[in-house]
Formats: sequence, structure tokens, C-alpha cells
Amino acid sequence: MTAQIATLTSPETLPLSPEAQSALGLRAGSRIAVTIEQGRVTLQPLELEDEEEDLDRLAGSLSSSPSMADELQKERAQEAKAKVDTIAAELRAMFAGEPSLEDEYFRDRDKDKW
Amino acid sequence: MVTFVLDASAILRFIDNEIGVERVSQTFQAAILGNAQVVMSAIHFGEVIGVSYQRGGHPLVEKTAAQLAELNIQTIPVDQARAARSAVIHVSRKIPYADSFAVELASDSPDHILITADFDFKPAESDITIEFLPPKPKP
Repeated sequence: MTAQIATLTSPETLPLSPEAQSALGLRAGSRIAVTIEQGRVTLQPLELEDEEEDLDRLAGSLSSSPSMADELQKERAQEAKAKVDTIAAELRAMFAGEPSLEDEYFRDRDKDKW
Repeated sequence: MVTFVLDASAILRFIDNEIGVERVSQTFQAAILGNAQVVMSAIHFGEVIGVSYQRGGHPLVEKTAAQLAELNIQTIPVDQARAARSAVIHVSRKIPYADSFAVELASDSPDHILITADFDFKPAESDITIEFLPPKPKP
């Protein structure tokens, strides 16, 4: 079974002698792996190295964040493009006809150039 | 942040859906995403509106203005100081008076880039950053 991680709020919450707690290095804030297997409960204090491994695992899971950010950025870019394309289509429908607006603009402007 | 200055020709190229349209479209997308600003002098906004009026009268003018606003284009008003600087650019660089307002606007900072399909801006190339849209093929 997968161990669950618990944080010890106070050493008194465990039915262990102060000597046993001291030997195990338990104190308030210590983290313990709790495993239940075949009717037995195992409590294993997590060493600093274990905690660092946990942090590494957490960091590893967060390392996918940039790709999530990329996904979000890509999605927003697609939405922006879709919006611009929609407006462009509406404008083009409004101005459908010949000659092109730009040609008309330059032709008229050249007449009264200053 | 980059500020794209568009003139009337760039807007009309976008509406006409002709060569270079993707570049203009990119500037609007960047503005919607908040990665850039797109501005246009009120003078050039007026030119686009004039073309709209010629095609479809007041109803088309209103629709065009509404669609341009949706594209996050900021229209920059012309005040006395801008008009004076533009007039000097017009005379000293020998570019059309209306175009000089876009040059003046693009002079606001080194992060301003003028995007245009109008090669009358060529004499201002040493003063500001200009990105010319590709010329349309001759008919």
C-alpha cells in the first residue's frame, strides 16, 4: 500500500516514550510515513533526505507547469486570431466590391496631394 | 512594449485581404493579447472613415468605426503640438501632409514601428522604424 505522509503536530500525540521519540528524532512538525499493510500499521519518520526527495518529486510535478503555461498561451493566441479573423470577415463582407479600397484611397489621394 | 503605428493604407490592405495582410493581422492579435499596442493617428482614422463613407455612407461609417474599435486600435488625437511637428516633417522630408502625422506619431519612442503599404514614407526611413508591406502586384 502507498504510504500516507502525516505531520506530527506534537510528539505527545504518539503513544511513545520520550526516549523512543528522541531516538526516532521526532518533534513537532516532523513528517511520518504511515503505511497499513496486512493489519499492521507502520510509522516511519521521514529523514531530511526523504523530505528533500519529496520536494524534488513536487518540483518534478511542477516542472510541467511551463508546458501548461505554453498551452494556455497557445489557446489565448488561437482565440485572438479567431477574433481578428472574424472581424476581418465582417469588414470584408461590408466592403465587398471592386476596386480594392487601397487602390481607391491612393487614387483619390493623388488627386489632391499636398 | 512595442507600439505599432498603422496608417490608412495598412488598414485598407487588411480589409482588402491582399498581400501582407498576415502582418497587419499579427499586430491586432498582439494588441488583443496585451503584447503590443496598435495606434493610429486621428488623421488616418479619418481617411479610413472617408473611404467607408464613399462606399456606403453613414451606416458603413458607423460599422467600420465599431469594428476598428474591436481590433483594439487606439486612435491618437491631433493637438497643436502634434500638428506643428507633423507640418515640419511634411515640409522637411517632402512627404504628403497626412502621412507626416504617422511619422510624427512613430517618433514618440524607439519602440514605435510604423506599418504601411505607402512608399511615400520612404524619405522618413532614417528618422523612424518603418515596416513596408509588400507592394501589390501590378494588374
